[in-house]
Amino acid sequence: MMLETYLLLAAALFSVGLFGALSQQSVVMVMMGLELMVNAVIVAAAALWLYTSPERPDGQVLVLVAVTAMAVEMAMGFAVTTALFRARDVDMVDMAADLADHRGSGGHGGHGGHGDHGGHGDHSGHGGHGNPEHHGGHEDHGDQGDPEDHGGHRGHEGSGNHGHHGDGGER
Amino acid sequence: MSGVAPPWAVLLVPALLIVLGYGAAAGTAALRARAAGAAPVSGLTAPARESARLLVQRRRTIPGTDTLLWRLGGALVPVAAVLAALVIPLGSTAVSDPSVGVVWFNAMEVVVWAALWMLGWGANSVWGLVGGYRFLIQGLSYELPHMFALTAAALGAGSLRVGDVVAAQEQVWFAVLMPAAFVVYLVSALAMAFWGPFGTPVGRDLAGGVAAELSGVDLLVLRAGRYVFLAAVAAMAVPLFLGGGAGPLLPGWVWTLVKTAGVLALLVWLGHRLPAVRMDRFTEVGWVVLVPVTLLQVLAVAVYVLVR
Amino acid sequence: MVGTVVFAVCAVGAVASGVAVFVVDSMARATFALLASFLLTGVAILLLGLSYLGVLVILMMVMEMMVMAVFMIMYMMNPAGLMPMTMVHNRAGSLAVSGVVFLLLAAGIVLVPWPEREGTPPPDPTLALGEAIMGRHMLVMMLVGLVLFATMVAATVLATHRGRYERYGDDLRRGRPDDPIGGGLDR
Repeated sequence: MMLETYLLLAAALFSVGLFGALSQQSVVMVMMGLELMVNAVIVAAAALWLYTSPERPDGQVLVLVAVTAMAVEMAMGFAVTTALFRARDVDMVDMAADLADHRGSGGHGGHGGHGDHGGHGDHSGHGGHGNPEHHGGHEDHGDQGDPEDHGGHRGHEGSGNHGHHGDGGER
Repeated sequence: MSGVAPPWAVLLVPALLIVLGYGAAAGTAALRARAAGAAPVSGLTAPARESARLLVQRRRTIPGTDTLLWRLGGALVPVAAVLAALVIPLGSTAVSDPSVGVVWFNAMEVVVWAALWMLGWGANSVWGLVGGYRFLIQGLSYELPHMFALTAAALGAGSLRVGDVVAAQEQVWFAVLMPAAFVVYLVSALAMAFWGPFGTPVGRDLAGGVAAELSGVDLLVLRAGRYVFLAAVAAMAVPLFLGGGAGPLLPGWVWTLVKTAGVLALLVWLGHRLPAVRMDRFTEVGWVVLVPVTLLQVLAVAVYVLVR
Repeated sequence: MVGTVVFAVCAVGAVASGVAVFVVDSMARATFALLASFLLTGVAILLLGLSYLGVLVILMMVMEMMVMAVFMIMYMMNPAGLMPMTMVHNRAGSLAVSGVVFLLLAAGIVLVPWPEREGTPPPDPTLALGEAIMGRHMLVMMLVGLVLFATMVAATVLATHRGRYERYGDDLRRGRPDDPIGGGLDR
């Protein structure tokens, strides 16, 4: 009976993580969801080891592999996030959809070259005082950036069903 | 060799740690008094006077604090010290001697990372946050050499159980067998207790760093917790490298306390003598010098274990 | 009996703090909610008798979440949650998908006839694990080591924006690298 309880715990953790990974827009929050899912795998593997075949060490080895997967996921995730942010001021999954199928979407415009000075100034701004009008603030830097670029940015947001961070006040 | 103490001994651990921590605080005050030209004896009561002052001091309130994380961070420092000390045997008896005692100690001592960062973040102050970040960098610099130093001791004993590590030193202390690991352990002990040269997270150049906005009881908890933590890491050096309670004439628990007090005195004196280390410098030293040194030390111990 | 109670508290707490990650406004609190979830599952693993792996999870998660906190503050627009905002897309769909997934998993967990336990746990699971990864399962250990090393190199290469030409000049002739932050070895 304990095996089922542990597996139910794992299933619940996995579902919560899945919800986070699917619904969150920020890359960091998506990674938190992924971590919860890997954590569920750890719990499930440990419980399966103890309640089905404790004499064989395979379950423990699987836990070790899952822990490693978590570390790798985290390191590579943040490395890619940092590279993306450096290159074009992107910290949202919707704006990093290079590999997505963009038929009928204005998404490409937003991928131009956001790695301009405006982006960097903005970065320190939102790290410091948590301005919800982050991308609204980006518009203010238009004098430094390329106007067409921003047009594309806006178009992307409008099409992508998440226009709120163009005008962060709306929730 | 190792036994498990009765449950009431759980209360003995914080009591002993507080006594040792008070000794460390008094020693620091005495050293400071001597450096200032005053009589060192006045340092013996200084921590008590300071504690009383902080107890009656009114708490400062700051707008925009994250009170939950702030208070939690302060409380975690002494709690982590006590939890880490649960596996340290006094003589031959420990409150608990789990089969992974060394890893347990390591895990509890890492909790201080979270504690200091919470303290720095919660105060809604730039000094605190910079102090918290400094400690994270410090942690990332000292943690790997520290882990390899612990690994060397565990490898020499062939066990992660602290009792087995003590038992393995009947012939020769690990401090003699693996001096590099012992030295690295002492360095990381200073670093993890943000003490002396590694005190920049609470440094004067940051107006107190993570402690900048603390006052009254909160500040007392952090300061006392830091001394208690220093006592805990000093106490762990005894079973790991100094033969635990082994020694002539006196019973084991006395020897443990004597050795702990000795290591603690060394740490306090070093903290008083050494200049502050900047984190950007220590990071490179940690990764480029200490990690290879400890790796080589682990290799040497492994060869020794094989040919012994 | 005590074990059951502890497990129940840990399980409920782990799921609740997992949910809290996506509910709270403050990113710092979200990070520590995730840490709480990991720590509670670590205790649940300890209850299974896997002392090494349980403590390892606790140790690793504390360090990992502290690194996570740095990136949270760095990349989130509203780290302290002082001005609450929602950064989600397709909330209803995600809720439906994860709910269905949970129901499917739960149905499978309840309905599948799980095999009977074969044998008993070894007296020291840590020793069993160590002998496995240094013996029959050594390939796993070697691969894990390689993957971790490759990750360290790849993550560093991806995350740093300065290469050797920035450090040593266009013709790589500079004796001392020109770094924004000096190291401790005076190189």
